[in-house]
Amino acid sequence: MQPFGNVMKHYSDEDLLTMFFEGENPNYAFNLIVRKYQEPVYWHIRRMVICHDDANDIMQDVFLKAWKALGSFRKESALFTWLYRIATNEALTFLKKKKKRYFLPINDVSKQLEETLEADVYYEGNEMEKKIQKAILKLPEKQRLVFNLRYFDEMKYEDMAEILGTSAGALKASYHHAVKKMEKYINP
Amino acid sequence: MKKDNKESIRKELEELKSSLDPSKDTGGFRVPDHFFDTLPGNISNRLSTESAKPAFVFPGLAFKRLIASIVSISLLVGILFSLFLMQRESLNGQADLDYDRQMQEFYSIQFDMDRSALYDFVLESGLTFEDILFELENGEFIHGEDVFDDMLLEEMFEQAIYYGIESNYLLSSLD
Repeated sequence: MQPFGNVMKHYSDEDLLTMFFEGENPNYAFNLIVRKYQEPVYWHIRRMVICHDDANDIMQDVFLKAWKALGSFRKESALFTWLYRIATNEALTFLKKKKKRYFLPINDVSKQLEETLEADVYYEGNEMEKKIQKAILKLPEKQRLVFNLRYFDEMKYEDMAEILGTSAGALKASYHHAVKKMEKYINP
Repeated sequence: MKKDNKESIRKELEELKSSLDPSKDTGGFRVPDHFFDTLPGNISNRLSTESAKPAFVFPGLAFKRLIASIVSISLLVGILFSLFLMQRESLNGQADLDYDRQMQEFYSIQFDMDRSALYDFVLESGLTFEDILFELENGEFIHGEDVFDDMLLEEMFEQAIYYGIESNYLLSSLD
């Protein structure tokens, strides 16, 4: 797991939201939110779309949407799950558009993402890491999401449930299936 | 974000008899130098650009012109509403056709008993498992009990779990 940005990390979500809603400079408060969450959100998107340039574009869209919607944020969910939900939706929409644009069936999308991984100048995984990434790309999209959130982001099932709108039990089962499939791909 | 205990994630993998080890696996991705230093600034610039786009400003109208505008807008809204009602009828018809097409596709995949195609289709079609079960309950799709072999059932249970459908409900639907 890549480290979180340590800049401004000491602000709690509560502090940041209070600054945004009640402070004199919401732009500044939003900038602090971006600094606090940019890394985990970026890595979450990057693992889904693989290419750095695509992840960068999606990141900007995510925070633009967050900026527009933050005014109506009701604090019913945690700030980070709310941001992850926007990021997940944006990443899935991107992949859907990619499929439509190139008329790709699901298997070819994973093949294309594999090619992207091979060609990405910002990928430097060792042989085993590359093998694992390729195995992850063979999973169905939603299982891939669950696997990444648990394995790399070390996320609790309860938080995942809030992001993906599914029960924690179902996500646990999905993760276990994904791990078993991964095992078959890695150690056939 | 409170992370889960690394140890519990490792133990979970151990219980699944998996050779995966997150502590030895960073994923292998990297970013250009100083990417995270410049990203907040890039996002701020993008926000400024978006905010600077000229918003539509309703022109100031004199009273008579305002009345005339209100009347015109009301007429326009009336016409658009009528068009909307007419179009909604045709959209409902289209939605029914789309649903039928998806179900037909599901059946054709089902006949071939292709497990992975079925799996992909259920994930990609946007049909909920309830949709499929509803069709199963009607009995039109079942061509003898042997159609449901163990592999297919296993796949369906996997999907049912994924969609959070109780297995009892699934079983009762297959009875």
